Amino acid sequence: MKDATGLSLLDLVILSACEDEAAFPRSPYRKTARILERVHANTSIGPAVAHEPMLDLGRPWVVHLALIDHHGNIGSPDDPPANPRYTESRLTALGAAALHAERDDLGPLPIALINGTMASGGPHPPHDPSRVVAAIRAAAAGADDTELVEIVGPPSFPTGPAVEVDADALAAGGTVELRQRAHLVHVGDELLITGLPLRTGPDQATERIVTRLHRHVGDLHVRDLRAHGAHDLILPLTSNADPAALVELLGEIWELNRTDTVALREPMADAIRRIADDGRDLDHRMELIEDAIRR
Amino acid sequence: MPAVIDPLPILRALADHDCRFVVVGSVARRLCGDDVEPRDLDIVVDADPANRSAVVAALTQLDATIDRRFGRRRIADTIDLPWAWGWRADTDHGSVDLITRFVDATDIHTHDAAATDISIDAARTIRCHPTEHHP
Repeated sequence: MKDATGLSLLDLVILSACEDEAAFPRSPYRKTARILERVHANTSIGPAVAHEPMLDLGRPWVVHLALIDHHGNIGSPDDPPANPRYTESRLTALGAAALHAERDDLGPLPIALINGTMASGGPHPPHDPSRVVAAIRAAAAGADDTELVEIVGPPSFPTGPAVEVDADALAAGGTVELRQRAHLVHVGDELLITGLPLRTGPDQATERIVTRLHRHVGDLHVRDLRAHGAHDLILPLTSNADPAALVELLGEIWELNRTDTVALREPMADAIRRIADDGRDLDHRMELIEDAIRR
Repeated sequence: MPAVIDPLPILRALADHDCRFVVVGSVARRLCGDDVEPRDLDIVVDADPANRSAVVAALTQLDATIDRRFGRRRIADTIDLPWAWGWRADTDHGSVDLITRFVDATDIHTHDAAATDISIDAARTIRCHPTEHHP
């Protein structure tokens, strides 16, 4: 992990390769394969290893803030991406800024605090970007540690699952259990499932739901799983179905209700304060984050 | 899956289900007389929902499958297919790439405008645009 952004060395190698290939925010897109070849030439890390991490830096279902702007089929939680010969990529403004921050040309950015590292198997959960920015501004205005932790709030995932965690222990630097739980709402004769956990695709969830419910509720079936957006599911209920019992059964499915062990790299207030206390262009840095949120 | 493509059974199934598609890539070149050995079938399909349903019906008839991150699935059992750009189906006759738009912003309208009719048997004519599928 690098100090100025919290990004991994592999992330920075990928961003740097984009820069080497002149894949800048306002430049034309470059072939993803070409950037991966550059990663290989610079580091000996092959395209097969770097491809998915590179795509993750711009996948909206993986990160709150995109560091790379992709063009083409970058896959989905259920589906693999196209061959990198058929997709294009370039840095986002925030991706370019991350490189500047790591070179000490810009103050630190809270990228890892916002995007987390759980998608790549790391322990750091993501947080709501607007709340992180608000906390950094509050720290600069003199807020105390308790206030900062309260402003940031609990972890928040791009796909919107409910989060159950001891937020105070996490913020203090402890290692804790974090549960991501899809929202299960009974509406009329349907059960609406929204906010799938990180990396869970609707079709994968469907498969598990159908398997689970067929075992316990014979005649329940899945009708239209795309009615309310890519990651929301609708289960029509039969007249004899007990919604409360179904919600309980669905809550046992790992794809809808998963637990991970998480920890922050440093206490939350320290991380916020380290970014706020760097005197260089705080407003500009926060505007970079806010611009990335709006995209 | 077979190492080479036998495109005709797939094309017949698509035509029989009134799918709107244009054959591109090496199969199109082969059908138009080029001496190439296709390894898969590339078709540009209309992303209209009705056409998607027709394509799914044709592929279901062929008992086609799709490789998902969590394992291979029959098309008939798959509810949320990745239509944004396209996807690959595997059949006993070979693999078919169903493309809804290319990264160069072309789609079925572009390719259909440049396509020609090719008869694949006495009853069926399909549209072909013998170009590389990714310019």
